Amino acid sequence: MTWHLDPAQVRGYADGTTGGARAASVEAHLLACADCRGLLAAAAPTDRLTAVWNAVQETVDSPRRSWIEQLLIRARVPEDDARLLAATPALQASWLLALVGVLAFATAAAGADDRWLRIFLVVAPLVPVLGVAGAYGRGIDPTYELTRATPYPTVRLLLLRVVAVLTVSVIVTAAFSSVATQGWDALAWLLPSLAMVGLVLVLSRVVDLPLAAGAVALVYVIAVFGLLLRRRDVVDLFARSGQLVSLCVAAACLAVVLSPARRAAFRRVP
Amino acid sequence: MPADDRPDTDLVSAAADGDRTALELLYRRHAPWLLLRLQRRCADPGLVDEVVQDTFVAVWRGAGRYDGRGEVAAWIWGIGVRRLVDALRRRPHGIQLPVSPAAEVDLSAEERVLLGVEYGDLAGALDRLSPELHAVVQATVLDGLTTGEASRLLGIPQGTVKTRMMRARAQLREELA
Amino acid sequence: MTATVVTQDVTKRFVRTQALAGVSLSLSSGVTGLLGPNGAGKTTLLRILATVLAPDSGSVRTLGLDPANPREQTRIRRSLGYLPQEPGFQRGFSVFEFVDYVAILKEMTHARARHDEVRRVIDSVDLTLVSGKRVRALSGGMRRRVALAAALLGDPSLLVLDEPTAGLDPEQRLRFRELVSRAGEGRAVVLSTHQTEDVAALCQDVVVLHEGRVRFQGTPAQLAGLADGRVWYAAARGEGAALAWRTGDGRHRNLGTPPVGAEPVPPTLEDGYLLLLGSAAGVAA
Repeated sequence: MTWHLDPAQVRGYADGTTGGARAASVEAHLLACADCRGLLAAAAPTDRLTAVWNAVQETVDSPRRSWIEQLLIRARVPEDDARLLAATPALQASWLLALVGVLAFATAAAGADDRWLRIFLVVAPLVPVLGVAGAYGRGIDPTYELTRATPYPTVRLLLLRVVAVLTVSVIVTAAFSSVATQGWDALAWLLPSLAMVGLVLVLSRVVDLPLAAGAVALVYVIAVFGLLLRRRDVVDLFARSGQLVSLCVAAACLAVVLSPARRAAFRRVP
Repeated sequence: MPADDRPDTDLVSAAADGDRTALELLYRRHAPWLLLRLQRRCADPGLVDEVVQDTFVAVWRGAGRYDGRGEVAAWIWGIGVRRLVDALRRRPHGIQLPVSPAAEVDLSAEERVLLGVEYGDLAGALDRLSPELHAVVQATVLDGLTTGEASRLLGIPQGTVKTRMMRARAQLREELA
Repeated sequence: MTATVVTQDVTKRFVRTQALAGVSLSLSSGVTGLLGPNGAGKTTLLRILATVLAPDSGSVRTLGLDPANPREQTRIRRSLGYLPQEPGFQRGFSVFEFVDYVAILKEMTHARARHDEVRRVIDSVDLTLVSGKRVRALSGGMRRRVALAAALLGDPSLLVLDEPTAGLDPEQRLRFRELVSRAGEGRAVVLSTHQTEDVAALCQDVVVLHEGRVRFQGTPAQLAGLADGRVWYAAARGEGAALAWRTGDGRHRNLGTPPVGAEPVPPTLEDGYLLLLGSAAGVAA
């Protein structure tokens, strides 16, 4: 490098009075010379540069939003809630893929054979339940212990995540079931499923959420086996009476979960 | 911040690895000249600030893609000027034409020599181009933009960019012949 | 000066074990070490202090509030920082994202201010250089520091650290001690460890826990003082020694009742601790 900027040139360039060719000259030089860049830095508008750096920091440090968060924010979910939801294990890609996998298999099988259709109807209500199991709880959420020591209301965190997971699993299951079968049958699983989720939420007041979900799922499976052993058709579970019972159970559980008196009790310390 | 004399290439690698202080150093070294250079192409300070911001966010996110060839400063300019082009496309604004060479009255003998070192006779000939022709030459030749990008930067149709380039070349050829 | 934490006869039983059998202690500002062997009940006690677990009986008063009362419990948690024994991290979160997540759980709603606070705590544990990296990709020592940063959010008045130096190599342990020492300025810190060096280097106060009971509470010097005149060197395991071991230079360090003519040496914290537990475990001199 045979020449460098002198103070006059620095000033001239910085305040924009340097003419075309000379400026081009300066610019080409600056691309290659760190010392002259340093000289110029002293003459540049520091206030603006500081403000811009703060903005860069904000953007760069802001947690890079995962696709879930971006989706939620676009759906007008507040930024904080979106963050909490994105941390839900059951909404991670691996869980969702597993859910989809199970349903895809069940759907494909249902299309092949009527018997398999029954199996689909039996499996479908469990999917949201298992999804909810992955919403929050010891063993599921790696930061469970830490979360317990924070002032954030457990009830809110739980419900927020459960609602999100439920929405996703219900939609996904509905999509698959509309492929597997036609008409009202496609939604036969919905009410029983909601009833079970309701029971899980009520039970989670006493035991951990994943455990509650496992217990309810187990009871359901036992009931199904009971029916099969008595040579009754599984579809009976989803008949009108079954739907009515499910509706009542779901409504009752909802009332319990959302009652203000119980909301305080939700913040239990075992 | 304590003095750090790591070369720019090291800082870019560190930034690719998630080192935020490396990014801050790159910013301190390069944001000032970038801002000033962009300011000479766009009259709107708000827009220029935004472009500088976007550039360094892009530097952070794309640090892994820097291939190590060429100066880091040139790489940063490439990012910056393209961000400017994008920003102007989304929001047409008053373009800052380079200051007319005629505004500069006195060139000392030393300065003439210096100019001669960088660009030879070309420098004088460039100065004698009209502002519109100069802008086109600066955009395509000096800033390295494509015809399309230059047209977006200057707010003129691509055809006009090409015509003006032809006129500029013709004039320079004539002068230097 | 009012105590930060006061417990009175706290007990806790799990299915097969009595983890705590009546713990009464008082903690104030500065660093308090909770020393004891595995199974002594340290983690259980710390979890109770961190309001993550409720005692079966006895009373706890933290920052003048009662953790059994839900509203006061929330107020305590607002001034509390907790570093669990095995800190877990969400998969795929970077350091910044994780600490920001915890900050949301600590009810910091305003994004800009929250991000500034996150940067501040990350800087205070010297992790700014890796704040963009995924936590799970970091070494164990660095991950502990991330968890410590999260615990420091909001400038808590009480910091509860469960075995923060476990599994760290000596250099990492030194750095961690430095961070904890800094953190101890102006707030109450209680940390558990089974390394006496941590306590000797760091703590103004030490509590020795054994089989769910407090065996000692006082200053490190006082703990060492328990072994005053009861430590001596000999060529082999001495007569009257409750404990003895071979040191690097071939001699035996003995703890217990020195025989006539033996020259006692100044006791260390470890000596006091071993002597204390030795007698509690029923190893007769």
